[in-house]
Amino acid sequence: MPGEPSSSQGDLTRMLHRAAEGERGALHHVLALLNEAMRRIARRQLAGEGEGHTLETDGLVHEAWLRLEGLERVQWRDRQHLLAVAARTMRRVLIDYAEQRRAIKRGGGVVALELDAVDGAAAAIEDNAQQLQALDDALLRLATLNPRQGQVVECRFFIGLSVEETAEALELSPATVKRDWMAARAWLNRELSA
Amino acid sequence: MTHPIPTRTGETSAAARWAQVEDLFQQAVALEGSARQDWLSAACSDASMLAEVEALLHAHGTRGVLDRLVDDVMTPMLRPGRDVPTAPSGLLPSHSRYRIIERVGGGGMGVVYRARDERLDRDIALKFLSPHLSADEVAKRRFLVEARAGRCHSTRRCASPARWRAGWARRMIAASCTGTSSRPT
Repeated sequence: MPGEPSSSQGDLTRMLHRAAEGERGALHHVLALLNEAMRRIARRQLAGEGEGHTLETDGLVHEAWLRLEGLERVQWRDRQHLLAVAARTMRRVLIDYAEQRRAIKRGGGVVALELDAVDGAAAAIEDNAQQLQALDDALLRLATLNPRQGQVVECRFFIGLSVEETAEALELSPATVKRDWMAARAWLNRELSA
Repeated sequence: MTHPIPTRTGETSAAARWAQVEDLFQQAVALEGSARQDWLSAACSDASMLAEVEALLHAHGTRGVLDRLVDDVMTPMLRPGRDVPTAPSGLLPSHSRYRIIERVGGGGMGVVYRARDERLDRDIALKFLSPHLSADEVAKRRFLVEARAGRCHSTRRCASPARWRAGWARRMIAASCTGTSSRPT
């Protein structure tokens, strides 16, 4: 990787522009910056700033990152595009994590976490693993009915963007995001209650 | 009922159907009571369409799985260390006239939920002061001033200024502090 990745937004924006213009090596640097940013987010989210799960969350993020289809071919437009991709990545991270935990429990294995080392966030994912996976399945169905509504849910739910931030990320009006969220929320709750 | 993933040939018709249902839902959600029901009966082309829209309207007015995941999983992860109320079920007493539906926003001062006023049968915004500010007299005064002024965050409907009276505001503060108190102080 070229140089030490920096997480500053200014660096990232500059590198995104340079990568979009086709500068050799710039995209690689952007990926390093993004990877670091996502790892930091995951550490904060899954480990609650603690030390215990650092390696585990690093691995999860790295795997999720690699799974993003055609990442190397993405023409990064700007910060907004990055937010939308971050939302998709967080979805994969959480769902993969939930699936791993469910698989361990299904296999009768002991979840290899000391009780006092399990932070609240990781425990909450485990407790709700089945519902998170049901949500992922329902989102796939929603995306076939209205892809934009699926994207709105990704931004609002998986990285907690506000209506206004989601509008910026997806280049929509706030009114459109509000309508999409209202309809998608009702549809998803109906599906998940079945 | 969970709908199967549409096949490629069925995607267009399923998407078109969803667009129809959603349009009816968006229009109906702006209406209340018998006006809504009358409009729906006239606007829906068949009984199954009517049933679909009614199911969506019910889901719109009810706290569901997605809302619980937001409060129980996502908010603690996305805002670690923020001492905000994340268990809405404990914020109001079981006999409260207000029923919390969904989180609509939050910040340093507290969190805002869309809720239903069961007595007046309408949506309102419920704001709770962050527990860590419950002992902060300045924060409490600001909260009361805001409540008295009738200001609230983005929801379709807000309680009237008269409803944001001091007693209610203090009760909200008490609820956010202890999660149990229901009596106006």
